[in-house]
Amino acid sequence: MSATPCLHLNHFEAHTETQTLFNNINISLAGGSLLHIQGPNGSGKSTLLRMIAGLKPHQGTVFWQDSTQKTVNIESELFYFSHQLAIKLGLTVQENIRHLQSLHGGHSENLSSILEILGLHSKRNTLAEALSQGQQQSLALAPLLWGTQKLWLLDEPFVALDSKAKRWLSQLLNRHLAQKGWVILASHEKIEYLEHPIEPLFLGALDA
Amino acid sequence: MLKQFKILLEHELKIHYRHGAEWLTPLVFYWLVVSLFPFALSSTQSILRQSAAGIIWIALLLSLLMSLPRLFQSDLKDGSLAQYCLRTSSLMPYISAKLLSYAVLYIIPCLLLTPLLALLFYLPAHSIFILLLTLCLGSPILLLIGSLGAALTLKARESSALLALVIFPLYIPVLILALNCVNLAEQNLPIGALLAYLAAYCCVAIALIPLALKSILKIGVT
Repeated sequence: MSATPCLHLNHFEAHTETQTLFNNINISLAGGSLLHIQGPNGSGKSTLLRMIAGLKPHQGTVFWQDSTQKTVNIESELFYFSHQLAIKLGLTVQENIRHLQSLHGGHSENLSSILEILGLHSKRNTLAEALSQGQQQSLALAPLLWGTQKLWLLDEPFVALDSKAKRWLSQLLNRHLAQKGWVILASHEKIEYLEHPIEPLFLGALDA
Repeated sequence: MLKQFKILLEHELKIHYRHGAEWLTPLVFYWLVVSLFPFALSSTQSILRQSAAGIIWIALLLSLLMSLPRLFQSDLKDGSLAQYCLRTSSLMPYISAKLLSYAVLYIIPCLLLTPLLALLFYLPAHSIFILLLTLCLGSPILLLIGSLGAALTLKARESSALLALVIFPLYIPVLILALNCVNLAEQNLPIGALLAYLAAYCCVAIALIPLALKSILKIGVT
């Protein structure tokens, strides 16, 4: 029997010294869905994403079952983006892209088409430290263009982007969701240009 | 993996090169410390000759200690260390590239400068050769042990002081081995056994410490 692949997040909880941020989060996401984590500052959105990525100790479990109900390890299948952009300010745009390509793997599109999409063609030999915040952020998101990761964890990906960059990011999200990938996204903003349904998750309703 | 190692190494060196004088500071420190001693101690040949190896070794050790706290710090801050830890397969190329770039930038220039500095201490050519040999075998150990300390103190607030406390006891055996080697050579006694010990220590460190680093960094990031 074949079923659609499904991503499971079980038993996630986080506490600060004085309060419970979130408790007993259990979610199942079918392939092709986007989970939009919302909540005020300090409600644990980034914490939850870091936990799912495995960058913060947690008691929860993350796994997905493919179409044959086999459990797949997510480690090599996730892309994590946060405000720590992980680009090298001392390297040029072009060198950074080469670095990201070797790190995130996947088939490489050619460099100039990547630069074209990012809008950084004229700045290919500029050091990343000379770019604006939004341009640096586009650069850090570039692996989404060629990566083959199934699960995207994006922490406030739209914040510094201009409307053009927002549009290409949304197009990428659409493409990824159409290919039955998963996106878990924390954002204050409303997500625009999205053709797929959004599953909301509100944090911050709990108080100790 | 090898390709990734090459790219990372190239980028690591480029970043240091573009940051200008940062990599020169430990080298200048090493040069200053070693060359000030002959003025401060005495101009008696025998005293200088006896203390030369110790002074040079300690100066190298201290200059390395200046740069070590920065080893993983910038990658932790800009988030790239987390990315390497998320892709387990890229962690080893990263660690090797990082260590090799540090050896190239901070150790090899010091070693190249050493024969010149040794002349200030009236060291004969034979002793200079043995001293260089022990430095070549010993400095990788210093770097590797130091990197272990840097990874362990990754998120500590007073990381430099803590780092020194963690790694100094581990440096002492290396110092003893290397300096005994030089002393014995001065007296024309056989040094094969001590050199072999040092070489074995070096090989074990190169083989095992990167593996330990891999797990420590993963823990450090989470």
